[in-house]
Amino acid sequence: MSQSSLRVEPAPHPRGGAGRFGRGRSGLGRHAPAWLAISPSLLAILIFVYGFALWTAYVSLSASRMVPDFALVGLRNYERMWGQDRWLVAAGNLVTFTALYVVVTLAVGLLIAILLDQKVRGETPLRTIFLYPAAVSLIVTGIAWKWLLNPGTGVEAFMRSAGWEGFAFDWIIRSETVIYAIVVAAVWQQAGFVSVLFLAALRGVDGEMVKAARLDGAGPIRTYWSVIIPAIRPAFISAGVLLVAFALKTFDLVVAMTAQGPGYASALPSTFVYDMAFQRNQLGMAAAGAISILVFAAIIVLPYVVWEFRKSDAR
Amino acid sequence: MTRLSISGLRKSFGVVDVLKSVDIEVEDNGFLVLLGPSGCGKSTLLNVIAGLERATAGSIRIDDRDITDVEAKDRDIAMVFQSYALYPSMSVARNITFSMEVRGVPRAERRKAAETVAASLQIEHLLDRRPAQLSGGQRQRVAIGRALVRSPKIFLFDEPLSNLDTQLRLETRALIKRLHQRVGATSVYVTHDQSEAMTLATRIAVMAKGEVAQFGTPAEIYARPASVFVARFVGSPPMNFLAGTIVGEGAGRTLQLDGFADIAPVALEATGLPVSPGHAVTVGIRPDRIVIGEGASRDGLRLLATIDLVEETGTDVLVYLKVGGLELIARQPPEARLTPGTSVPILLPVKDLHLFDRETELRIGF
Repeated sequence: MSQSSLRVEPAPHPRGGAGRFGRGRSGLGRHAPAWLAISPSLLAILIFVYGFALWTAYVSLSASRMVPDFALVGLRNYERMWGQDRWLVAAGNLVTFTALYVVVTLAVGLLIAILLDQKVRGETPLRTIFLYPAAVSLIVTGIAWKWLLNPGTGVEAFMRSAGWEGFAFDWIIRSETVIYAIVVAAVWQQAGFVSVLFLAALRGVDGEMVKAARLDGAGPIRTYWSVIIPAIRPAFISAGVLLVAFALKTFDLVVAMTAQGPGYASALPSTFVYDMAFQRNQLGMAAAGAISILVFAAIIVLPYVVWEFRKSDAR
Repeated sequence: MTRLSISGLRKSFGVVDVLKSVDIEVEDNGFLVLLGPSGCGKSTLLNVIAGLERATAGSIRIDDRDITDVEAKDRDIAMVFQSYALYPSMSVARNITFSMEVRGVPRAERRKAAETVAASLQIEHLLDRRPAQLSGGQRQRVAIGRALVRSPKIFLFDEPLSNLDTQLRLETRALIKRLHQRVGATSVYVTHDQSEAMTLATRIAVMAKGEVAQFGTPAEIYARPASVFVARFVGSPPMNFLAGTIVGEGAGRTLQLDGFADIAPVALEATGLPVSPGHAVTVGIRPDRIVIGEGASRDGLRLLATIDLVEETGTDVLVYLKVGGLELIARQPPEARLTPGTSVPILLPVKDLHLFDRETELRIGF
């Protein structure tokens, strides 16, 4: 039926059939419709992402204070920024936070996924419950965890009122531990989401492979470690890339939870940039901070990109 | 010396009885094939033997050891799966020796074992590759290697050839047969393909709806199918069936085909058949036993048939015949000259007829 309807079609559109194989046309002309279709988004990305990134790079090398000043001052903004303890704390926090957040979230997410995969009753409601935090605004998460972790109102107060007088859980008010408190809240927010990714991957694992491992004498832990987890490696890469992106963007959680405090002990580069740009009239240094975040991102992502390109070249 | 005995084995999932009292015995060096259509419980039975599923009732013994409640890994059983079930993240060598790795065998020893097994399967050159880089046939060889390296008491095969194309299936089938002759380990093999069953087995258990419909040697099952189900399932093309009725008594007892009142009934040679006059039977005859043409003066049912279709397979000719409202398939030697549309006399020799009770569908006599 479809064949006969094809046959009665009118003569093909001049650009139709031949276009793809480029008979008589070449270069840009033959791909014109494709270029036309993607040009709006391409233009927007070129201007608003790459254009402004370049502009920010320029500003970071300029003498800008409250308003842009296009007189170039070389790397002076960077030198001043790296001389500030506030920036060093923020940069150190970002490294600690990203590493802990990504590793702990992957581990907790995997654990939840493995437990959910044991044919538990009521899996669907459980899955929804675990996924729900990801739908909550980071501001809400931040405020809720601020109260939970506050020694005067949260877990510590509860345990003490329950009779455990010596109980201490005051990470959030101590400058050397506050970043771990933020990791706890961030892990809570995303672990359920990651567990759903892992659960989908676990469901795709060949059941016969698991049986084969059992007959080979591997116990449950060995089977997960040597057989199942290596088989779901692609899910680790997807989840890891997403989590690194989340970690680098983290801003609202810190603002809501600790307002960078105590002092500036929980500052992150993103909050540092915000402070410099909008509170202290240091546009040049803010730009230097922003470019530094971009460099961080590149350092983390580049090995992965290179590896992916290598792999596609090999094929 | 490994004998596998299964007695009174039952397996239920909730209220569904997947296996209803299975009794099977495999002798040392025996090759048992579990043959049946999908859903007959043959794979479940294999999983129960492997210890991957727990039996609801009954017992499984290897020699004199009751293994019904023994953990899968302690049964000394290796299994080859339909999907190959290789570990994708490991090299071929590591796949083969993973069981040794779990037991803590040193690396050098594992490598040596992998090399020995790979040599016997002609996959030495693949040892450092990943499963994703192998073809289907190579993967199945690796899976067989993984079973071989353990020198288990019993080999289990779960439809290992189903994912291979015809050429590879024949090659791998021959490989399995050769390995069995060399290693001689007791094996249980699940398939729905009757030609695999016939070529590999020393014993076949034909399964239907969770029960063993017939248990015997391939020759027995082919020559004396215990029921209409077995007769239809084993043999390709399948057996032809016609409806008939027993007429008369004692030595004068004859078989009359239903709907062919003008055809002379045939005297039944065999005496002592437990049939009474008026007994409704199903008459079966294998395609290669139908004689086309006047034939010799043998006893049998003589019918007039129209040739409907002739299929040349090269080694022989399949002839589709129309007799009244029935369709019969006959297998003839390739030199037979037959023209579609013409009428031919055919003979169904009495000694090649299989009789089944039409009610119970079970074989009548011997």
